[in-house]
Amino acid sequence: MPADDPVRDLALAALDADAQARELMTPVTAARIAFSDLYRYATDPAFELSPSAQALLESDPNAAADLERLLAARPFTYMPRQAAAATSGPVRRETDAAILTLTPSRAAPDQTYLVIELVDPGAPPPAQLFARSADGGWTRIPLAKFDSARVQVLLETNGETVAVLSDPETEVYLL
Amino acid sequence: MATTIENLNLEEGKSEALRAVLAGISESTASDGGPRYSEKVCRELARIVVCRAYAKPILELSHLIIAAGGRDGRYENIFWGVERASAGEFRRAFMALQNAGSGVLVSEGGVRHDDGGDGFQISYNRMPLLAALLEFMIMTVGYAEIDAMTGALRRGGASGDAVLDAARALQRGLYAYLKDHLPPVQRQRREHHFLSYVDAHAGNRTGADAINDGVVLAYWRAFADTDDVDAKTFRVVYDTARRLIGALDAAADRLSGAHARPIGTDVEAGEVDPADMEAVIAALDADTGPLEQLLETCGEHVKFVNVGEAEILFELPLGDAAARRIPVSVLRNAVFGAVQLQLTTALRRGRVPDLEMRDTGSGYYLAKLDEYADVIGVTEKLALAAIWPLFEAGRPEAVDLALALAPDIDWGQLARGMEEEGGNVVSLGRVEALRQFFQVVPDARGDEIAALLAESRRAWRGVNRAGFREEDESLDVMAEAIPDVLRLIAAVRRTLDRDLRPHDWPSYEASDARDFAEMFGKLYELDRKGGTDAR
Repeated sequence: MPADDPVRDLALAALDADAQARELMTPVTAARIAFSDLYRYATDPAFELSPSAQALLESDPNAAADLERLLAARPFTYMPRQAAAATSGPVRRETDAAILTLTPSRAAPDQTYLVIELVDPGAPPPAQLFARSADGGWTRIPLAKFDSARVQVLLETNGETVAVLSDPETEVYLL
Repeated sequence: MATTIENLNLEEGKSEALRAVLAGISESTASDGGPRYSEKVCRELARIVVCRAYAKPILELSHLIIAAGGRDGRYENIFWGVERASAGEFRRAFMALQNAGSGVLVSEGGVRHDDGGDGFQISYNRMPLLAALLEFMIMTVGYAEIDAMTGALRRGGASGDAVLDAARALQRGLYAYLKDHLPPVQRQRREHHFLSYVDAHAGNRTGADAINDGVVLAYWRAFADTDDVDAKTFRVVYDTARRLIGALDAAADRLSGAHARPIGTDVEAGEVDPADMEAVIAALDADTGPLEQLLETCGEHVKFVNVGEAEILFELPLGDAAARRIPVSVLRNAVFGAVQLQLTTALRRGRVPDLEMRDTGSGYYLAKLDEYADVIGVTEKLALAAIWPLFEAGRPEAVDLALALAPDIDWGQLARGMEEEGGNVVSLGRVEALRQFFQVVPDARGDEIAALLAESRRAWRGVNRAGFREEDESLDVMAEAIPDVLRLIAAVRRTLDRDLRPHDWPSYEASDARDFAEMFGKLYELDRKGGTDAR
């Protein structure tokens, strides 16, 4: 078979390319978090990111931006950064769709109530809360079933979630 | 030298981001924890990327984005709202779509987009790959960028021109990314070296015809003990020969003029069209054959083939021409390739290996053929058993199985009576035949169909494997796997009966046992033990 035979050229080029494709598919230590996993994380409260995927989300600004875009495309409501911090008392954020409050428990000061109330009791309620802190990190809280347009979540007063939600720089998505 | 190493590191660094994206996609999970995309889809994606053969898939994707976007343009809900990326899941998702956009027609076979011209049809089988491609583009080109490039499509721009504009923008985006992240393809020394050797020894034969059993064995004997090329194991040489046969056959087929080629590709001058290259690799992948497909379809759920049986059948080249062109090498690889693997494994573990060769007159090649026949015989029995639950459930796959496993039965008895129906004979006839089939009462002493069903029921009751027990809820998986089971059975039988059986195997045994023992002794500095008749 002559060295410049088109069949030979094509066969060898295909085998070379196939070898590269296989090489590209060999496992790597630092896989990116897949967009489909981000989609499930954004839309399925039952889906948990693995610890390694969570770490990837925190370290990959592209993935964080993709998640934000996914959330922004389908929010029940969005609560932007606040202009100023509340000096004291319960944290309160309000949009025309929902009101979010953080209130320390009187009976057990180490616990804080996160309460979300819907402005329109007939609206299909959100299932999750996503909070993006000033440093770009994401916190997700699955929400229980709303009762009379209201849901309550018990949080640790000194926990990270309360700190994030109390920070006026934090953005909140309900969806 | 330093420059070469620096270049290699640079190339590796370029591709690292690309590898991380492909790894992310192949590791993404479905809701049951299994992989979201099949291995086949991931391989196809990598192939399209490496060959840069993305023009056609991106055009399909642009049409599909219109269909998946429905009326609100949010295509994500279909692409990633499905449990896993499979044809069945996409069929269910589109059939359930209440608000398909204007010009979009959803049917059992796929989705059609009327773009004001000839229209564009996309089958559900194609959608897993297109979803993976879109995910790849979002992770490389960027989510916001893809949204922008497809903005007109998602805002109702469904004309052919709008689709073409979006497809061109997507192509440009992917081209720009790959320019920075996909290293040039490296020449595979092993295949090039082997083919040069074949050329020198082919006489007047050309193409895949030039690769025969004699050349394969001679090449291994010539280069196994040299540093010229990695050819130490017979298995490596056999795999190289087999892949070259597949690639040369596919390339010859592709260049035979049956396929349209873009204007400007000068194949005589050595230019290779990316679509041709992708098609040849696709043919190689398809050649891995029906066994992989069956394992992918039903794997752990319905064990038509268990792990041990699969290991044995994987020795057979089921989908390609290798068994026809190098039949002796197939069994040499199965028998002596396995011996060499044991030797190298022992050496790797720091043990001094024993060379236990086959006796020359023991009929080991024929025994190997019998082993394959026994394994596929088990699969046939399982297929027979599978008729019963499918029959009980009234699934048409029961008929497909029965027709394939018992073609000599007088199936005409089911068709009788329908000749008088007139009019729409075909569809009415099929419905009536199916109805009659499912009314047959199994009876070992009854007519042929009743006896077949009785035999199937008996076989079903005698099986204890995953997917074949009353409590297993895997009838859908079993039904989906029936075409793959039938393809596997036909492929193994064809390979055995047409390609491998009709050879004088005893005549090869004496010389092969001697030749391989001599080579192993030379390669690994061994004294032969065990069978002693290989002088």
